[in-house]
Amino acid sequence: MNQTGAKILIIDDEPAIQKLLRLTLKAHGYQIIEASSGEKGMMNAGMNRLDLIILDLGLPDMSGLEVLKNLREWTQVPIIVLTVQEDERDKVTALDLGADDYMVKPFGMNELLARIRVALRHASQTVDEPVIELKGIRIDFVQRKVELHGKTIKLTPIEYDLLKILMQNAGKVVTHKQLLTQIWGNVDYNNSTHYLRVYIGHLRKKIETDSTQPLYIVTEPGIGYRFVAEQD
Amino acid sequence: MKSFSPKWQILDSTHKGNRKSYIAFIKKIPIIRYLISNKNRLTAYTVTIGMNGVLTLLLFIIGFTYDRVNIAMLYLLPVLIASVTYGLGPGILSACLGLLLFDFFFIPPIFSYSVSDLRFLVSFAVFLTVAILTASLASQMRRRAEEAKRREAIANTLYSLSRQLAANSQIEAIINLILQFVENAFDTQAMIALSQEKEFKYYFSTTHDQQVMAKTDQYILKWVFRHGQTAGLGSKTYQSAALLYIPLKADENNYGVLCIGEPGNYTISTHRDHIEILHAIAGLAAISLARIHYEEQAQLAHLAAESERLRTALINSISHELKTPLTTIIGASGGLIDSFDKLSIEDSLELISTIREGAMRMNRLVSNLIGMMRIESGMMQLKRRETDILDILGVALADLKEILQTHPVHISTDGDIPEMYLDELLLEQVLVNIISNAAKYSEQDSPIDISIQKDVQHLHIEVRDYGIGIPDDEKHLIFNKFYRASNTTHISGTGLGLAICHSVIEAHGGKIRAENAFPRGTRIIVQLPIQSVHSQKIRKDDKN
Repeated sequence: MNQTGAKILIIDDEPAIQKLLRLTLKAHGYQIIEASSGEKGMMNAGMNRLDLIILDLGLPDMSGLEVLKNLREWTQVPIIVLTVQEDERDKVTALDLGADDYMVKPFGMNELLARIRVALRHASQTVDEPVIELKGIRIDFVQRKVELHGKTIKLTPIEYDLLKILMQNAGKVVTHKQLLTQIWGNVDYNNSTHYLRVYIGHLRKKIETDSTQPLYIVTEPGIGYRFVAEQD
Repeated sequence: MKSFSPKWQILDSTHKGNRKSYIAFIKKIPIIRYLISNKNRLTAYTVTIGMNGVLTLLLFIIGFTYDRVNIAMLYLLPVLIASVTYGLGPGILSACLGLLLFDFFFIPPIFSYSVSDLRFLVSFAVFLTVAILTASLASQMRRRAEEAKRREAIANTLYSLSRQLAANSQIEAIINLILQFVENAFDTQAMIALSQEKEFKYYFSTTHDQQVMAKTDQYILKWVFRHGQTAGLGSKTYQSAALLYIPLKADENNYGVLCIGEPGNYTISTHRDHIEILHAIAGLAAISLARIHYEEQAQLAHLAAESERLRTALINSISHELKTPLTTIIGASGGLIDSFDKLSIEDSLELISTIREGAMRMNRLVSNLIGMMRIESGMMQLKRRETDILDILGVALADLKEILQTHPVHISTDGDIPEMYLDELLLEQVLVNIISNAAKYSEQDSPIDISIQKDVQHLHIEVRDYGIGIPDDEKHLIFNKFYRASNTTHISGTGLGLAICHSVIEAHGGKIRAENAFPRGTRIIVQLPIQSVHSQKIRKDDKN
C-alpha cells in the first residue's frame, strides 16, 4: 500500500478507544491526531492536512452527525463513522450526509483497517477511470461493456448503472437513497427500495454463482449494498 | 320558553300602520306568540274551546233549557277532561268559558249576559269555584303521573347508561358515552375535565367542539375539583357562572369535573331534579373512572411482580454468563502482563485468542440482552419493508461464517419465493439465532438443512440440525425467556435467543415452533404470513 504515513484524525471521547485506535493504527504506519470532542475535532480538521477522519457519533459536546455535516460543508476528506447504535437510521443518516463508511462498536480491527484502506484508495483515485477491474469483473465505461472472467455478459441499462456505481465505490457501502437518486433521479426512496432489490436480484443472477451467498454484491440490511473489493 | 316583548317594540310596529305590520303586531302579542310558538298548547286550547262549543250546541238543540242544574253539572265535564288531558291552563279556560256560555244560552234572559234572578250569581260563584278546584286537582294529578313517567324514563336511561359504562374499559369511550348522554338528555353542551398529574385534560363530545371550553372558568373548575362540590349556574356557589360544574367523585377520590351548559339555556338551573340527575350521571362516570383507575393499578402491580421475577432470573443467568468470559479475559490478560517474558509466542497467541473468544461471547450476550430489553420495554418497532428472504438468509449466513466453517449448510427452496413485508434486521437476527443454535447444539461437521417453502398463505422457514434435540415435554418451553432445555446444561447460553425469535416472529403475525427430527436433531419451524406485495410490473421499464 502506498498510503502508509497517511494522517488520520480520531474524534472520540472514550480514552480506551482512543488508545486502542492510536496503538493499532500507529503500528500500521499511520500518523494519528486525536480530538476528544466535536469542537476540538473540527478545529483540528481545519488546522491539519488530513487524509482521513474517524468520527464517533456519540460525542459529549455535540452530535457526531452535526460534526459530520459541518465537516462536509468544506472538506471532502474521507470520514469513517463509529457508532454503538444498532438502529440503522443513524447509519443511513450518516452515510447520506456524506460519511464514507461506518463501523458498529464493537468492531474487529481488521475490518476497520480494511475500511480505512478502501476510503484512502477512493480518495486518491482519479474520478474518471475508463476501466475498473475487480475480482474477475471488468467494466469498461467507454464501451459500456462488462466482462466476467473474460466472458462478456449482457446487462440491462439499469443493471449496468447499478454495477457501475457499486464498483466505483467498491468496498464502500452505498445507501438505497444514493443508488436510487443516482439511477432514477429524484424518487420517493422510502417506497422504491423494492425496485432496487429486484434489480440487484437480477444483477446477482448474472454475476454471482450462488445468489444466497453472494461474493460480489452483499446486502447491508436496512442500509444498502456493498461491492466487496477484497477478500477478508 | 317565556317571552316578554318590551313596550317600544309594540309602539314601533303599530306606528307603521299597514296590514303586514298589523299581522306582525298580532304575532307579537305575548299570548298569541306563546301559542304560535307552541303547537301542542294551541291544539289544547282549540280542543277545549271546541268541546265547550259542541256541548253548548248539543244542549241547546236537545232543549235542556229549563233543567239548569243539570246543565251546570254537564259544563263541569269539559273542565275535567281539559285539565286531565292538557293541564291547568285549558282547565281554567274551560271553566270560564263554560260559565259564560251557560249564562249566555241558558240563564234567562237567554242570549244575554244580564241575569234576571240574582240567586243565579251565587250559583255562578259555586260553579266557578267547583270548576277551578276540579281543574287544579285534575291537572295536579296529571302532573304527578307525568312526573312519575319521566322519572321512570330517567331511571331506565340511567340504568342502560350504567350498563354501557360497565361494558367499557376505555376512558375515552366512557367519557364519550357520558357526554353524548348529557347532551342528548338536556339538549345542551357538555365537557369533562379529567385531572392528570396536576393538569386537566379536556374531553368534548364529537358533536360539539370547543365552544364549552371557551366558556369554562378555570378558577371555578379548580375550586370544584379541589372541594369536590358542585358550583356554577343553578347551584349554591358561583351562581353567576355561565356553566354548571359537577365534580366526578367516587370513594373520596376526585377524578375530574363535568361542565354543562351553554349561554341562553337556563333549563338546567331552573329544574332542581335536573341537577339531581346530573349528579347521578356524574356519580356513574366517577365510578367507571375509578374502576379503570383500579384496573390500571392492578395491571401495574402485576407488571411489577412479573419484572421482579424476570429480574431474578436475569441476575442468575447473567451473573454466570458474564462472569465466565470475564474470568477468562481477566485471567488471560493478567497472565500476559505478568509473565510476558516467559511465554512463548504460541502461548501468548493462545492466551490472546482466549481473551478474544471471551469478549466475543460477552458481546453476543450483551446484544441479546439489549434486544430483549428493547422488546420488553415495548421499544421494538417493526420497520417493515419488502424483503427478499433469500437475501437476508445470505446476510445471516455471512454473519455466521466462522461458526459455520464446521457445519455444512444445505439450502433448499421452493422455486418462487414471494417477497415478504418484514423488518429485515429483526428477521436477520431471528435467522442468526436459529442457525447458530443449530450449530451450537450439534456435533462438529454435522450438517444444517435450511428449507424455505410456501403455501397459499404462509412462508415456512425450517432449520434442521442433527444435534442433541429437545426433550419432548420442553418443546414449547424453550421459547420462554431464560428457559434452557434440561439437556443443555453442559453448553453455555442465556436462554434469550429463542425468546427474542419468538417475540419478533409474533410481532410479524407469524408462529415459531420446535419439533424433534428423525432419527435425531431439532427442527425449528418459522411460519410467516404472506402479505400482498408489488407484482412484477417493474420489469417492463427495463428491457434492453
